Amino acid sequence: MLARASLFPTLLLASLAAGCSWGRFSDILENGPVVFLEKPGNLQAGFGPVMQAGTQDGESRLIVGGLHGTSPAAIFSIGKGQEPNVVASRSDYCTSAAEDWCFLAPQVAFLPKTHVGAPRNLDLTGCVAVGISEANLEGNGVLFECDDGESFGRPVSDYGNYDDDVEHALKTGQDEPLAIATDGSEDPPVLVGAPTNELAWYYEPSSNVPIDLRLPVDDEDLPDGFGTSVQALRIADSSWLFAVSAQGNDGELHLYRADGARPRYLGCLGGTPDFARKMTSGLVPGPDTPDIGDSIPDLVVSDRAQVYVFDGAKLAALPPVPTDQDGYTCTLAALPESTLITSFGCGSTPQTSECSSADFGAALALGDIDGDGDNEVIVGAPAMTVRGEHGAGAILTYDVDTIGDHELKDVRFFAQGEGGDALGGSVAAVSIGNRDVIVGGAIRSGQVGLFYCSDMVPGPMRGSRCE
Amino acid sequence: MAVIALFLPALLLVSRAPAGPAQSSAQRLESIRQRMEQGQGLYVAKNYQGAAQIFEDGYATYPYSAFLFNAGVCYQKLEKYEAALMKFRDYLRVDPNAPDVAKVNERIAALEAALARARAEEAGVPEAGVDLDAGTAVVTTDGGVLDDAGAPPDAGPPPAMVTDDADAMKSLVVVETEPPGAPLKLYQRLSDAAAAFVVGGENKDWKEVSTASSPTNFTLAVGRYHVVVDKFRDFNVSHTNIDVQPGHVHQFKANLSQGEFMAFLRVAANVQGGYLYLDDNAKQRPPWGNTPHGELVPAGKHDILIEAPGFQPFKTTVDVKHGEQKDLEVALSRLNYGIVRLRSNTDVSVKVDGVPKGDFRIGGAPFEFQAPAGPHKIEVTSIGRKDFEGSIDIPRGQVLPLHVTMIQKYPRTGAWVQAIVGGALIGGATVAGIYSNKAYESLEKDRQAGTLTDEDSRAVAGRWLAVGSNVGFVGGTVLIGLATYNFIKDPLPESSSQIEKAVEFDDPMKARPTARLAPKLPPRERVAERSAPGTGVHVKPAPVGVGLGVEGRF
Repeated sequence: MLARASLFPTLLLASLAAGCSWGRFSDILENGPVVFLEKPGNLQAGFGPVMQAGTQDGESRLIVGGLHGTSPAAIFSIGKGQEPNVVASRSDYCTSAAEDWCFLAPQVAFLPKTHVGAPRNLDLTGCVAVGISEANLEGNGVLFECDDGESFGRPVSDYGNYDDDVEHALKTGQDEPLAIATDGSEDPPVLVGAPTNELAWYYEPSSNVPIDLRLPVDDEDLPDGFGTSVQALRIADSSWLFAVSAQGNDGELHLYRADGARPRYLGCLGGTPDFARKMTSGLVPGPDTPDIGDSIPDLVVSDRAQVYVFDGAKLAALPPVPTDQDGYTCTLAALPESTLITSFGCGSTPQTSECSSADFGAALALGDIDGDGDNEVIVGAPAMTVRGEHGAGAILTYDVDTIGDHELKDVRFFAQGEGGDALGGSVAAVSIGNRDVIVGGAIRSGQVGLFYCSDMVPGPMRGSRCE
Repeated sequence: MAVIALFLPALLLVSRAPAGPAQSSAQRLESIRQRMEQGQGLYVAKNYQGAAQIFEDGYATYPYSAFLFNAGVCYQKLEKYEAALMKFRDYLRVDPNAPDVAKVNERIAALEAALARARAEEAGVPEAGVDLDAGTAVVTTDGGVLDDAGAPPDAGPPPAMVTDDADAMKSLVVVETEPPGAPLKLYQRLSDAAAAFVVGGENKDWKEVSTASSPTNFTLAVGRYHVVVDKFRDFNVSHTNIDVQPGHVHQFKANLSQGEFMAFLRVAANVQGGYLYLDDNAKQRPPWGNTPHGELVPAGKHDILIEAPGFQPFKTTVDVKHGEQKDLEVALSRLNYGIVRLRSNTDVSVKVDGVPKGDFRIGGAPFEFQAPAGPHKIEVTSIGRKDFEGSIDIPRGQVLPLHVTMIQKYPRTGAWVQAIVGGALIGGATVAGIYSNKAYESLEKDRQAGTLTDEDSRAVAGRWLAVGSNVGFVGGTVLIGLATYNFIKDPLPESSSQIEKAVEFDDPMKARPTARLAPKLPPRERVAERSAPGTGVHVKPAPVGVGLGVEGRF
């Protein structure tokens, strides 16, 4: 009987000992390596397809919008350190009202500060060029939303009566997608592309005057989609390298050197399908990199299968092409030596596959992920298969140190990503102080996550989220 | 009626009840006896007419001469001399060899004289006592008849035995022998002081009054007679006394001994009622008898087979001589196996020493099975009831009645449900725990890989799996504990058995023997003794001699 009596408590204790603690699941999610931003409730049409990072007073900001043309955008003050503000500080950028349209641009730009001339004559900070609208404008133009609820507009180019087309679009509710970029400086110029009318122009810093960027062809010969994607690189004070892509039949990348209000056409790069469908710029090899190290940003572009890293300084040094020259040729073959620092394609890992159909290069960003002072190339592959989930998407990070040298350093994805999430449809990098973290948008599932941990992050910099 | 057998050196007297074919003869004698005694009663009561009528009817039904004589005496008392004469004359006609022919003739003569005188007186002769026969008898006025001495019937002290006189009724004596046809002689004692009759002796005061062959009957007057059955074929001489009372019917039957030509064999065993086969080892005939059994057998060798249920058959050969009586005492040994007769309160299956023996079905006959004698392990099982295991000691050559009471198993449904649910819970908890751990490991791996999101649904699933696992473990453990208790708990008694006293095998011939020693016989001289393994045989001699069996009904 004693043995029988002792059986029950023994079993009970054994069961309790073998039981599982459920508190550890809360612990493991706390300070997780991937943090989702909360999607604002008013962003009904997606969350993440439009994304742009910036820095305001040393603090990282992130503009996240839904589908361009229909959705508003939100701005997140990510802050520093590993405790991000996941709730948008504002989410009403480019909000349309009845007969008060605002078409969110597929590519937006962040302006830490700018000046609005007369009659308002305002110095504004934390502005975002969000799209095209008639709000706060006497006419139609590019809309800038700034801190403290301020906003202003700058008129679009009137080349070919484009402003009339914009007005018509705003009256009829037809999207007029713009591609907007700055060079990332405090008071940057603003480069704008209008692919529907094959136009591109720029505003000098704090200027309301659009300066058209022309091609050496007649208007009827302008390439389709000219202005689909734009990128601005600061060469020197009041000197910039502008890159404008045309995504027509073949991808074309047209380069301009602008010194103040005087732009000059430098030529066309291309020759591969969808060349320059996405672009970004920044210092890829650091200033201390032998042979190619300088302080001029480099240009990173992608086509359907590859990513190309061009030396910005060498591109800016290309000789101008007269605008009265009849026609142009888009090729990489005529580039000077070492202008193309490197190019690379998709790389697979044990957990990622089907690189050939991964839509590698659908989004590009540069960020100092490992905190070594130069940027790594962050490439979105939204159609990549992850852990067997087709189209879950991944973000691949490459380190480029010397000419012709590149290395796939890291692959990020949502651990619980599902097929069709399309992570990597948009990417960005935000600074958390001593390094940058990757921001990835799963444009179909409407998720935006900050990837705090990377295999590239040195141990001392990993922080509690990466332990 | 009990059978009494006396073994005497020269006479065997047997009194037994009528049975079988003798029944009608006995009834006949009984009817004759009743009529005779009824007539005698009326006669003593001086209802002479009634007595005469009874005797007349008796003769009409049973034509024995005694009825005629007695009717004549009644008519004589009624002074109906003519009727009396007619009866006495019929008596002599019917039984011309009657022992008392002379006396009856004298009585007839006296009656005829008296009748003549009566008729003369009717013609003028005065009434007076008439001496009908001066030399022998006198007919008195009251109808009495004086004896030869002239003394009245009631003069002097009555004799110890009623003697014959003129007023006495005759009795009927029936003598039979087995076998019939034996010659016999009837002697009458003439004096009370006569010596006992000795066969072949001088026998003074004894008179031979009749000779006949059995069966026969005599109409005799009151007195003592001696019947002698002479040597007949190979049968010995037999004889006996007969005391005849008035108005009675006496029956005597003699079973004659064959003397030196036969032997008497008696077989006894330690089993009473065992079946005896004499010279019939193939059992082609009905049994010779049941132990103990004795009978005359021809001299010579005889095969003896003794069988009794539960005992091993015994065979032997006995050699008996003429006139020898042998007693054969056999100790039968029991069979080396027994039978278990099992009953139960439900349908059961039985195994002995692990070997299935069969089933008992409730409502049917007891389940019997044979097994070697000795201790055995018995297992009894029944669906839904507790198994029974025990030991039985099967007796040799006997039936061991065994009643097994099968107790229903204590219901374990609840315990099974608890065990199953508890097991399922623990199993589920284990699985949940495994999946929870796997989820955690997966999360930890992804955390290490830097891909874990703060909204990972695996954490929710893993958390609930962990909760479920713990709840399952606790609940399952409680249920398993309850199930263990309920499996152990059993308020019902165990199945049990009741072994009754062993009984003998059923007798297929409906004669159930009892295993006890036969009654001891009178001590005899032992002449031989043989024994076989497990069987004792004692052959004893019987005294040499002859015997007469006499059966009497009074």
